[in-house]
Amino acid sequence: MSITIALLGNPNSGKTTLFNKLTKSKGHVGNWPGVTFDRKEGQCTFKDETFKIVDLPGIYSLAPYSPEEIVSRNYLLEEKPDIILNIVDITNLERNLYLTTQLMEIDCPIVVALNMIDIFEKQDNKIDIKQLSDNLQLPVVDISASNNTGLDKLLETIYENYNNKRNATTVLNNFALGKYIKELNDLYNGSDNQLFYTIDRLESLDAIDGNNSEKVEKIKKEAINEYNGIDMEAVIADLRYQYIIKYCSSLIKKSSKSEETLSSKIDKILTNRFLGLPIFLLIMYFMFHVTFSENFLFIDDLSSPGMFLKDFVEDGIDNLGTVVAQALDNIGAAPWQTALISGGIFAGLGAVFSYLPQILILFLFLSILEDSGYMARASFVIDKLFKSMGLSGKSFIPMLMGFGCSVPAMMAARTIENEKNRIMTILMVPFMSCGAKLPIYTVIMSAFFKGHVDTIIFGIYILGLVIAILSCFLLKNTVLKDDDSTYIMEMPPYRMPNLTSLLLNLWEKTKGFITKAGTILITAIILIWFLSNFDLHFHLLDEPNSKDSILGVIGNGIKFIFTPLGFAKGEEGWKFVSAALSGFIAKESVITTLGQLFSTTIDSIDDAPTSMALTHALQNSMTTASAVSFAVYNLLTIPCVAAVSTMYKELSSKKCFFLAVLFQIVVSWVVTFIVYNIVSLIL
Amino acid sequence: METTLDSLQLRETCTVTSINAQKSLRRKILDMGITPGTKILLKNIAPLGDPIEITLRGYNLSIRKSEAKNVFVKKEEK
Repeated sequence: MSITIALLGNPNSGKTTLFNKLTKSKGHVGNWPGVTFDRKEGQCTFKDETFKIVDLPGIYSLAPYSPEEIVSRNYLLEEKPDIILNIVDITNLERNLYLTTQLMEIDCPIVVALNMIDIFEKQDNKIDIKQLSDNLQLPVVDISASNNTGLDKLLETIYENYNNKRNATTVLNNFALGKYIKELNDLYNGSDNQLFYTIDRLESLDAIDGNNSEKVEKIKKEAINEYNGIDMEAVIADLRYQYIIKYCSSLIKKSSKSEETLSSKIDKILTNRFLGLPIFLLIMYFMFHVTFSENFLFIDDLSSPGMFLKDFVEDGIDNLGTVVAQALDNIGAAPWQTALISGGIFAGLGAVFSYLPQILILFLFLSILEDSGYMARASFVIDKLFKSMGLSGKSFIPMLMGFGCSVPAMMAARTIENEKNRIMTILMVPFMSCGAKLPIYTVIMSAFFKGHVDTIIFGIYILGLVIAILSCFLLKNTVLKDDDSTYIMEMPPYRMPNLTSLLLNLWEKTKGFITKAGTILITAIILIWFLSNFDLHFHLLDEPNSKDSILGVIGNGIKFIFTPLGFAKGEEGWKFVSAALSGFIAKESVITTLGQLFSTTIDSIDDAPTSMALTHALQNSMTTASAVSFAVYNLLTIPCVAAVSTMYKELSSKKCFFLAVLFQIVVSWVVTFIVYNIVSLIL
Repeated sequence: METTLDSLQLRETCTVTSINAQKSLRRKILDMGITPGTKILLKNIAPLGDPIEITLRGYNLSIRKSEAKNVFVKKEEK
């Protein structure tokens, strides 16, 4: 039997870092099946025990209001972990301990980890930890998760305490209110976590309690009278803080130096009245410049790091491709075998893999922005703008993550308390072009806009934003009328991003990418290969990828829907239709499918490397306008199946979900139609 | 002088007297430590004039003016 540890704490308290350090990110980290919320779970061993650590979402309180609070609350009360590991940021002790005073009211052993002791001591502050532990009646261990200090002692303390049955206590007993809590508690028969529920009942204004309701009301009334008519919710919150000030934060001996902190100085620039917005836009632009530019730092033909790495990987794959094709030739493989392996799987995966460096660089930027604390500032700077669109400044984080991958982005929308804001954010996330769509633009645009690829791609991303903004206005004034959205957000101090965490994050992404390529993409490639090499009677075609293939018949059958959009026109139009449809499996499939379907054309161009060959094929079968239209359509259409199913989970009602999908299908068609006609007129 | 939190000037300090919000907003305000008696400093105002950034209990919090309106405060005499 393993010991279940619930890891809980405020956002920005270093919870994820601690989780990664304790579990060394080994073992199984992933989604929990069947639950609407994914809790990360990891393992570590200490002495003879296996600890199963459950990483719960960061929360400030156990009040049942935001989705995160409800998830954590239900987990603690219903699934009953063996022990709670409460991580507390000592540089922000007062507010962090507020949650601790609530956790104490649950019948479960608790170990408090005082994190960031290194930063605290560096500022010449001191604290009597022994005294703090005595006052709280909980074991307290000082640690620094990012520096790996105190972790062994922490595990040892968990080991010593997980078996000690601990009865709930409350700090409210230190005040006159304690008397009323005891009276109220006596009315109920000892159920599980009774003290927690008693205090919960006292706080809420409209708790109905069958037989005891009269007695309960009487006690409540007396308590409210005792506190001059102030409601219990405010009284209890205030008493918790009073306790913390009197018994905990008073133990801190602050250094006499009271100079302005570095964070405040940085803030003076980054959230400055005049510089705030320009700096925000500049950072966003720089991110794209480093990733995609062919004229880095505006020097002609100097590749940006992203471009350089992409070319590097591309060359490697091309060389490998030639070797493989030759080897297949030498062993006398049948043409269709060569076509499937070399033209399909190899060229297809190769095309996608060469974008991995750029996707990783984009993710690296996003993680740095997140870990450093700038995301909170960015949302502070643009909240007013977002509010006018029916969103919240908090929507900014999910939307920015959307540039990486829609799946975690939609999950991140849970931090938004207001339901309409949350729905709106989830609907807008797919318009933020995800990393997997990047190869589509790069392949298509480099065939038509040599030398300006970064500007054009930046333009496509901006178009996504513009459509999102217009959609917001449309929805805000129709189905999602905003009533009372809220925005109350902590501004964490700036921190140096932790290198290990960053690398770990990138490694996770790479691993995910490889897994996806090895499973979904290969399956998609083989499926497409089958559909494009066999006819309706399941006979292998002499000429693969012809319009007689199954895919050709399907593509030609439905291409009338896409004909007004330009890219479905012409002999080869069905290939683009099929490629766009295959994007539902995974957006990477769009390019692998195109590569496969044009491989017959590609073969006829001897000696050209595969990446160049597709470019030639595209130039021959598309106009500039239809190329732009194809890119725009892929930008705006419904996301991949993984994102669609996440959307289904995150949007609480089915009706809402179906309307959302319909909305995206309509928007993508209409906008692409407009863009195609405008570009045709100009060029 | 009694006023609301949104009408503070930059770098002004005040003490919370009462909170006039309901349900989840009220609870959120209380949970974040804005309780009667708390000292608050207006640290910063966003470039577009809203939200505001306040300092309380040794940390910084951003809050919209429309929410800060629900917090009654007493300005400190200079």
